[in-house]
Amino acid sequence: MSDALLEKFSYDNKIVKYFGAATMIWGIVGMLVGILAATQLFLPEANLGNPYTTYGRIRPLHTNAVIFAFVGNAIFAGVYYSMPRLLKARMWSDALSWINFWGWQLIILAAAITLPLGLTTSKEYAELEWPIDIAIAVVWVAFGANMIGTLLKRRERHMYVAIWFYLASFVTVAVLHIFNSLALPVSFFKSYSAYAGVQDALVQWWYGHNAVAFFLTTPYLGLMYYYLPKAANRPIYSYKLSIIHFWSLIFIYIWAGPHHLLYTALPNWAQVLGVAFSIMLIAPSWGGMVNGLLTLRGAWDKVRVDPVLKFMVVAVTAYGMATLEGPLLSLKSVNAIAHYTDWIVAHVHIGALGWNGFLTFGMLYWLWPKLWKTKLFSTKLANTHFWLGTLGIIFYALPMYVAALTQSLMWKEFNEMGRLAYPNFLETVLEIVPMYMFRAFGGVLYLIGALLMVYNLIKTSKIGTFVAEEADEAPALTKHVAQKGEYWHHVWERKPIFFTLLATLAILIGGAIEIVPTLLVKSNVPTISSVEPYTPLELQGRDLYISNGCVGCHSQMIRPFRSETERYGEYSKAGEFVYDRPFLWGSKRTGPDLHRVGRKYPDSWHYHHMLDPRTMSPGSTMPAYSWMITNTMDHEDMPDKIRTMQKLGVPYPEGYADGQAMMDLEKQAEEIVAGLSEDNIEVLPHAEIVALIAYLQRLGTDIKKVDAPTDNSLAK
Amino acid sequence: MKKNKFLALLSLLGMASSSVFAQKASGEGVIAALSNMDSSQITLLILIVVVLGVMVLLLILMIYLMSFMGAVLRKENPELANEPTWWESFNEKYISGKYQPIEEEEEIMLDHSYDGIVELDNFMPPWLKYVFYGTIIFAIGYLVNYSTLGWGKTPSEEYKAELEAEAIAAESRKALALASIDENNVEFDQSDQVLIAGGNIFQNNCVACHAADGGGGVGPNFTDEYWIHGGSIKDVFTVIKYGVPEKGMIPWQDQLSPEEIQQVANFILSLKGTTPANPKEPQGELYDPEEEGSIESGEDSAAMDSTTVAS
Repeated sequence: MSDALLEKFSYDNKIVKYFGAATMIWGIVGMLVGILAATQLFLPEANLGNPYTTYGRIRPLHTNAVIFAFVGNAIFAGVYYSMPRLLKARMWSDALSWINFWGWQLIILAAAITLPLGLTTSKEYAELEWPIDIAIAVVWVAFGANMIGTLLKRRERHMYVAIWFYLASFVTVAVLHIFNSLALPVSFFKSYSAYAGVQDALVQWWYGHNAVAFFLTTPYLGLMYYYLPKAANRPIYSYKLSIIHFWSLIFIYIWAGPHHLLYTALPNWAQVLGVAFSIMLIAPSWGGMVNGLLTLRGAWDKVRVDPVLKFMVVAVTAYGMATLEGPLLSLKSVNAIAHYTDWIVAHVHIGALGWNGFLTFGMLYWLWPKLWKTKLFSTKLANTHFWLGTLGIIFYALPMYVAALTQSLMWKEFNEMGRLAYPNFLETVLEIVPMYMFRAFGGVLYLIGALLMVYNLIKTSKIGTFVAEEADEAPALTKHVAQKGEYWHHVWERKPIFFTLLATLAILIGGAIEIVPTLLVKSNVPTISSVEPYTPLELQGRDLYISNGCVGCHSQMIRPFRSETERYGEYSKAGEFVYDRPFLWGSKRTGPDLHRVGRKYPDSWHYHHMLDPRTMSPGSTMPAYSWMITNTMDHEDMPDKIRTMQKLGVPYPEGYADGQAMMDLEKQAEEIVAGLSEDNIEVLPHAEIVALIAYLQRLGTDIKKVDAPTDNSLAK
Repeated sequence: MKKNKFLALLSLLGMASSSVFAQKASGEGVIAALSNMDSSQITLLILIVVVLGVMVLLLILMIYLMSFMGAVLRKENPELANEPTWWESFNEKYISGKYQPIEEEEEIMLDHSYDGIVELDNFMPPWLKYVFYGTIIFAIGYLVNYSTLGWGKTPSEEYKAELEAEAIAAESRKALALASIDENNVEFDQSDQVLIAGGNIFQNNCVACHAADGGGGVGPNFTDEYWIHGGSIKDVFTVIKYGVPEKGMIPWQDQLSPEEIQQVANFILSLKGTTPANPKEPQGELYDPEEEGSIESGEDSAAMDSTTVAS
């Protein structure tokens, strides 16, 4: 190649530095919040006595911080460094890069403010309210546009496998985010999901599962395909394996969402599809692990000494473990035991701490010295980080597995009289409290390791000099001359738009086949005539329940097992949730299921229990919600909520919101207040507790109304 | 090499014999079974054991001889020495695949580098390929099982089966159990044994609403003489068993056995006259055990109870 054809250009390292620094900062924040949440599970007083830092609100803060802030920034840092180098072209637009950076940080900040305030949709990993959702979509598209622009002016004809993964991630996350976030706003901070009950659950877990797939997995596989061979200085083991596992992974992953809803009211055919495709995911997932580990063939001597490679090897291994465990958990018999327990928590943390965390650490340890043209400040410190992190993962995961099995078996055990051996749910919680302490200790170890890294990398940047613009040169892309016998996939690799469209098609099929029939075919959700919309006060109480993140610990989905129906009552039916926007089935039972809690205890029980749970359930680990007694709600937004619900098809009477609704609300509140005063409890009718009691007492009672109509029916 | 094989053979024999010993050690039952056999059966058994033993020995010998011959052949014929063994070729074909030696990697290296990263053109490891095929076959079988064949049970069918199994178990429990306690035959019994057991049940289940000393709270006070639903042992038993859902008292019949309900009901009656820390005001009607007749429920046994209460 003659020098005359070489074009000179430079790479933007500043954006990489910024995203890298943001990764570290948010990583530390996210882990700290995680430790706080973990502590509250054995020490409820650690909620600091206010609603903003109580478990139900900081759990989503933790998950959002580590997924979207820590991992999200790491993806951007990794992509903004590797993509221009793989394409021999500077990122398309500096402006878009910075919109991406500052936009994303603002979104995170908005999340960190709104979630503790209780502004949430309560849909897992999609908790943020609609204005933030729109901002996410805009910034994400800016990121995608920047990638596609770079592809269009690339100097490298073919796209390397890392870029396939980046593109698929971009497209899929956009599709998932938009469809799952569809909602009708009530006000700037409140909206109701476009889907109800079973449908909402299916769309949510199509999203939730694939957020794991296309936010935590595929972008990271792309990063692995760049940083692992770079750090090991070894060729990628198999190009063919890359092709097979890329396409099979993105095609199959999208189908597996329903495995989060096994034995629920989701139609059985969707559950069966979810299981079948989850099992088929094993080999495509392992393709990534195998290609990564075999790339290290001949470099294992380096793994012994290089902390970067150590982190990466454990990351890839953790990925392999989690992606085998996932399909096994989706087998119905295993799921019957594991669902709602800490097993799932352990499983996701093998992925989050092992795969995402360790790959990020490895990448940063590799990147920082490159950006500052120097050597890592201290390899010894990095090795210490590695061991602390590894120990942290073990101390986290093992107690969680023990806790999960112990508790699940206790839930399911019957005595020789055919009764539940542990009818008191609390007994099964207290049994595993020591395990929660170990878990928090594991988290602390992991955090200390991460802090060591931050120190080490700051020191590294101090001893080097930052290269903001890194110069490179490459020949311009010439007109392509078709070659005969070119490998079919190699042809695709030089057609980025075509490639992206194919990937989009691959990810749309599974979702469409599962979701469209569930939305459109009526028989999938058999209606129950006695199920009616919530009364205005109950609706307000439900929104309080949502706002306080109660769903983080309490499920509302009784599965058809005798061990559950004996404990909670009749199992949950699809038709009971048709007015639930959003659905509140939950995914974890730190406390008991609440779907049939309605009319189980007197109002005064709930009053005392919310004031101080330990007076009603001695030893309970639930935090006190004493402020609900004194906080009052102005119900001004209620008529708008009713109107929004009507637009979504909830059959409130015509014009109900114009006056009747408020009268009904006041009437029901007065009734509850009068009932409480009989037990010498004085509370204002507009107190939060009144609305909450109204909602809790309604839960799961509609199907019992068939023979005895109660006062829950709306004024018609 | 040879030595190793010999050692392996020895250890194999050792394992076989030790397992025989192990069987003897736990062999009381075996001996009993043997002594019940007639002579022709024993002869047959011995014959079978001997034949099986000989077959195993012959197999081991064959494998050993073959590997020995293989080694000899290889030594005599250097060309054969490079031939892969049966296991090596199986492994290469179906499990690990053929690894290109690292020194010869260039041969399968794709002629392109992306920012310095090159790719090899290795095949997907066979074991992974077969895992993939296996899972696809499983998935197809799974789908067919739950759809066209309809053999797989839906969750509600599984639940139905679980209920049926429990119904049968409940029947057999009923048949086994002595006359079960219910509200008609519950007994007033203030023995220590009953009160201690009842006290434990009370502490574990009732104190949230009725206070640890029975003084009441959400629920009524047990220490006074006023009862909302009657104060006889039968009344208390009935309230505990079936609950009073409209007033918030939950039914306990799914959580406590009839015997346990009897114990805790007796414990509750033993609280009368004690002085709780924060007594709730009396609720319901004054219950006088002497005037048992005024309460419409069962006459004779309750009357007997009341006399014991009075004493």
